[in-house]
This record gives sequence, structure tokens and C-alpha cells, in this order.
Amino acid sequence: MKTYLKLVHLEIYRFRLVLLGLMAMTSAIQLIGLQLAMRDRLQAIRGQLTREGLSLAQYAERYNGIPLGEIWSHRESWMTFPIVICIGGIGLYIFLIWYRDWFGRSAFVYRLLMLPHSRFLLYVSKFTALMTFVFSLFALQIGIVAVQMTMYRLRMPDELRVPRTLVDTIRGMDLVLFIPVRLHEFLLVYGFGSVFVLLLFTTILMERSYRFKGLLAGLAYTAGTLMLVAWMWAQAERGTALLYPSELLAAAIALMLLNAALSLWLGRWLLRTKVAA
Amino acid sequence: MRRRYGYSIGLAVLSAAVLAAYAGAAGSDSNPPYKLVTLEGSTEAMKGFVLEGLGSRLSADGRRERTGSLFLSAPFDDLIQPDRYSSERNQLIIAHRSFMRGHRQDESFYRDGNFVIGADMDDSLSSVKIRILDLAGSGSKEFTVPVRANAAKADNPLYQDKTVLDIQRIENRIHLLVRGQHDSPGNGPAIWTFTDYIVDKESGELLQAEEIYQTVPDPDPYTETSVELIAEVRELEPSSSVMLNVKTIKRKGPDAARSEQDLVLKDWRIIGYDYASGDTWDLPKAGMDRLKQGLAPRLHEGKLYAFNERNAEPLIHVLDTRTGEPLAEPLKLDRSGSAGLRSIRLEKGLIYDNLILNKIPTVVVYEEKTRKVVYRGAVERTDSDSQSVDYQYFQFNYYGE
Repeated sequence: MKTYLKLVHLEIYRFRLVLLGLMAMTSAIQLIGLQLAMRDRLQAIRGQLTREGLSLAQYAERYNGIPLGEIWSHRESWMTFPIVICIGGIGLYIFLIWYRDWFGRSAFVYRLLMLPHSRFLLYVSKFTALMTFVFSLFALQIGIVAVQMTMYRLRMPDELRVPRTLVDTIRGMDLVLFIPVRLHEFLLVYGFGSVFVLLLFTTILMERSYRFKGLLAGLAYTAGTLMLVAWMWAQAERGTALLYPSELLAAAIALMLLNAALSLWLGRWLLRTKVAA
Repeated sequence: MRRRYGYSIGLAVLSAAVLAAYAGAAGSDSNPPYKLVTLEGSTEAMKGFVLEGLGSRLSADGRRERTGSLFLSAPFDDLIQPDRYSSERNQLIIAHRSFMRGHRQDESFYRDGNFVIGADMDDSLSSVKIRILDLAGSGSKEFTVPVRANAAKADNPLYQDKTVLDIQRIENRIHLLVRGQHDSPGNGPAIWTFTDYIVDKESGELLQAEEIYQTVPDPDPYTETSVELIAEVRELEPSSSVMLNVKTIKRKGPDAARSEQDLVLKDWRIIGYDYASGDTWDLPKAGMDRLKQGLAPRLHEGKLYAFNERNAEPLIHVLDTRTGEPLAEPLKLDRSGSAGLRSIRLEKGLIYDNLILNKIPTVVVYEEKTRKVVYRGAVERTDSDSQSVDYQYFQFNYYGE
């Protein structure tokens, strides 16, 4: 256990600067974006008030208040761009977390593979570290929305403010896809995402074991699984399949669990018997 | 030790704390801050109905739940999204799961006390698959009934489509009302046909194909005829007749936009069809004159209802389908606080009026026979910090009992 935690720490520590960079970039862009969006919206409203000779109260009665989500919709890309960069960064690091051990300075993998513990600990610790990065960015995003709500409360006149809870605010944004408010959505998004990471880990280890042939086999395995799940999804959406949508969902979950188990077993076997420095 | 691993421990603990707090907040947020409050009458008439708006689904019996926020799991619901008139099908899915397996999206269904009948056109548009479930317990059976196009008229059209619009059972005969559409020779406007295919319920044999109506292409290229079916508003319920709303519209010219101002109504007929006798008739002038006041026709329990939901203070006319004469004095509904934000629904002899009344989303249910209000309810905010319901439109849906 101690070795596992040390390895997890090692992986987190190695990524710390990139993670801090991603966090800083996300916070800066999203908070500045909201500030600019509120400024533009309030300027437009003030212009309208002057043109139509309305007071704020009259404006609110005629056009209703302006919720935080609506302000965001005018500068949506400022919210989504950092998220896409974070997903891209973590996605790229799924590969780098392995390959930097082989191709980084002083071929670190020699030392890691020589540790007097199960090599599978390497696999699990890298996976744990990646999940820690994902959920720390998830937590940061919740924190940013909380700060944005405070900015909205301070800046938006009382008459135009639409009171919402944190959860309700997130529910009203496209952001809810990445920060689900429903437990089963959370389990599906992050469950399927985790299995996808395991499939890529298997692909990397197959490439390390069998080089080009292994890479092809791993990619085919990953693509095949994703296509099967996408096909099930399409069948559920069309609504004409013999299986009911809830049964297709159960089948998709079973398939992903099976693949997770297969990936873990294969990863363990490859690390133990095939992967060499 | 703690200082050495401080970065990792701090990151994990902080993230876990935020996620735990968020999970707690999301968990306690499962109930929306709105409810449907009964102001008058009994909630019995509201059984199975819900109001949906502001991210909430509200029932008259006090149930309320959040809606929306579904992405990955959205298509994995066995039930069809309830809308104004098609959600009765969800009851079939719940009650007859194996009969409906793979057939949730079939074109048409029928249900009475003894049988459930489903029908779907095959991809080649040459036959209809009929499936019959005997509720007395003798299982289900299937027939494939050929529905050939009239070769002389269709003449291998480039485009054609066929849909089973309505199913009825009259004693031992099944009636399938099929709408056909194909392009006319010489690139004219599409030709629409409405045919009643009469099938023997026991043998599946096609007994007769009765053409109810067919559009005739107008030589004027700017004139088009549209035909809309007026069937019993409750999709599955037995009905002895259907009606066709046939409108011939002339555009002012080739470049005329299809806006109201550029269209002239040349001819308007409402054609009735009786399944049992095969009779067809035109709705007489008395009925047409009433509809021409800008009213939309609906068929329910053998009566023709006519109203305009967009009027601030609509009148519900109830007409005889054959004579067009009023069967009763028109029912005057409450004046809406926001014209356009209103929906009227007919069900089991009741009239459901969903409107904005004094700024508040309100449902009023009238009994058609007695004109009495049997239910009146309004949406109320339970948390003063949440968004106001003033002038907010809530959709009125049948969600199933």
C-alpha cells in the first residue's frame, strides 16, 4: 500500500506544473470571460434603458431577470475553450504518463520495472494519478462556478438578478455535461471515461510488448469497443431495436465492465511477462 | 512525511472535500422548488397529467421531480417522450412489454377492452404488418397485408411514401387508414391518397380497399392542396369515424414567400368518413362557417370540437360531425394573461385548459356536458429564492397513471 501511494505521489508530482498551469489557465479565462460578458450585457441593457426610457425595475418586469447562464451564453467559448484544453491535456498525458518513462531522461522505466513489488502497482498508480487529475479539475470547475456566482451577485443589479443555487446554476449551463447533477449521469460519464483510459493503457502496453502489431491490435480493440457502445446508443436512440433502451444500457454497461476487467487482466499479464525496459 | 507528500495529499483532500460538498448539494436538490396546488375541485381529473416547466415536472397529487440534465442516459428510456397526444402509447409499453418489444415506434396502435392492435408499414411500402394481442389471454398473432399502389395512377413514381395513420376494429374487421403520397406525372405537386384497407381479423385476408380521398393536381403550379387527418384525439381509443381537413391554397407567384400574406385560401373542405358504413360526407356550411372564424377542428368521442388556442379568451364549440350544427352553447374559457401561452386538451369528455391566469401558470378542467369546473390548480413557488413562476409557460402533458 505504501509503495502504491508513493508511486501515485510520484506521478502526481511529475505532472504538478502542467496541472497547475491548466488550473490557472481555466480559472483566468473563465473568470475574465464572465467579467467581460457581464460588462457587455450591462452596457447593452443601459443602452436599451436610455433608448426606451425605462427604469431597471420596468426593464425587469418587461424582459424578466438575467440568470447567470444567460450571461454565459453570450461568451460560451470562454467557458468551453479551457475545458477542451484540459480534456486535451489529460488525454495526451494518458500516453505520456507511460512513454515518458521510456523516452524521458535517463530511461526511468529501468528503475520502475526493477522495484521489488508487483509491476501492476505501476499500472494502478498511473491510473489513480490520472483520475486524481480529472477529479481535481472537476472540483476546480465547481469552485470557479461558485466564484462566478459571487461575481454575479456583486455586479448584477438587484432588479435583474435571478437567484439560483449552485446546483441549479450548473444545471442551467452546458457545463452540466462535465459536472453532472444526477448520480447516474456522473457514473456513466466518468465510468465510461475511466474504461476508455484503461483501454488506452492496454493499447500502450500492447505496443510496448509487441511494437507495431501490438499497437494495431490495441487500437482495433479500443475502436471496436467504442463502436459497439456507439452502435448500442444509436439503437436506443432509433427505438426500433428488439431490446428496450434500458436493456441496451445494461448491455453497454456490462460490455464496459467486461472490457475494464479484460484490460486490467491484460495489463497485469503484459507487465508481468511481456513488457521489457 | 506529511510535508513530502503535501502536494498530493492536499490535492486529493481538497478535491474530495469539494466533490463531497457538491454531491451533498446535488442530492438535496432533487425536488424542484415548485408545486401544483389545487385551488378547486378534485385531483381525480388530473390523474396521469403533469405540468412541465422551469426544469420541473409537477403532478396535482403533490408529486414533483426535476427534469432535464440528461445527456448520456437520455436515449436509454424505454418510454416515449410524452407529448400532447401520443404518450398513451407509454401505457402499452408498461402494460404489454413483450408485445411492444421492438415495436415502440410502430406507426399506429389501437386498444379496446379485448384487443390491442398495432400496425406498421414495411420499408418497401408494399405491405403492412398487423399485430394483434388478445387481452383475453389467447396470445398474439401477426399478419402481413399487401397494400399495393394503383399502378395506373402511381405509374412508378420517383418518390412515394405510405403511413398507417389510424387503426379501428369494427366487429371482426380491422380498418387501416393509410395515407399515401407520391409525385404526380410532370413534376406537379405531390398526390395524396387516403385509403381504408379492411382486413379480416381472424384470417388476415384483405377484404376491401376503399379509397376515401385523393388530391387532384391543379394545373395552376401555384396552387397546392394539403390534407390533414382529424382523428380521435386519443390515439388508441376506438372511434367510428375520422375526418379529413382539405385545404387548397394559392400562392401569389413563384417568388412569393410562404408567409400568411402571400397565401390565399381557395377552397376548404372537411370530409367525414364512417368506418362501418363506408359513407363519406362534406361538413355542411353551418360547420364550415364556424371553422372559418379561425378555429382548429378536433375530433373527440364522435363530436367535432373547434377552438383557437391563440385567442386570449377562446370559445370551445362542439359541433355535430354530419350536420355541422352546434350540439351545445360554446364554452367560454378564462381570459389568458398571455395570449399564445396556452394549450387546450380534450380527454374522456373533459376539457383541459392550460393557461397563464393572473400571471400564474394555471390548469382549469371543465366537464364538457355540464360545463362545470371539476379542477382548478396553479403552480406555486415553494422557495422564495428560486425563479418566479410569473408568466412562465408550463407544458401540459399526459405522463401516464
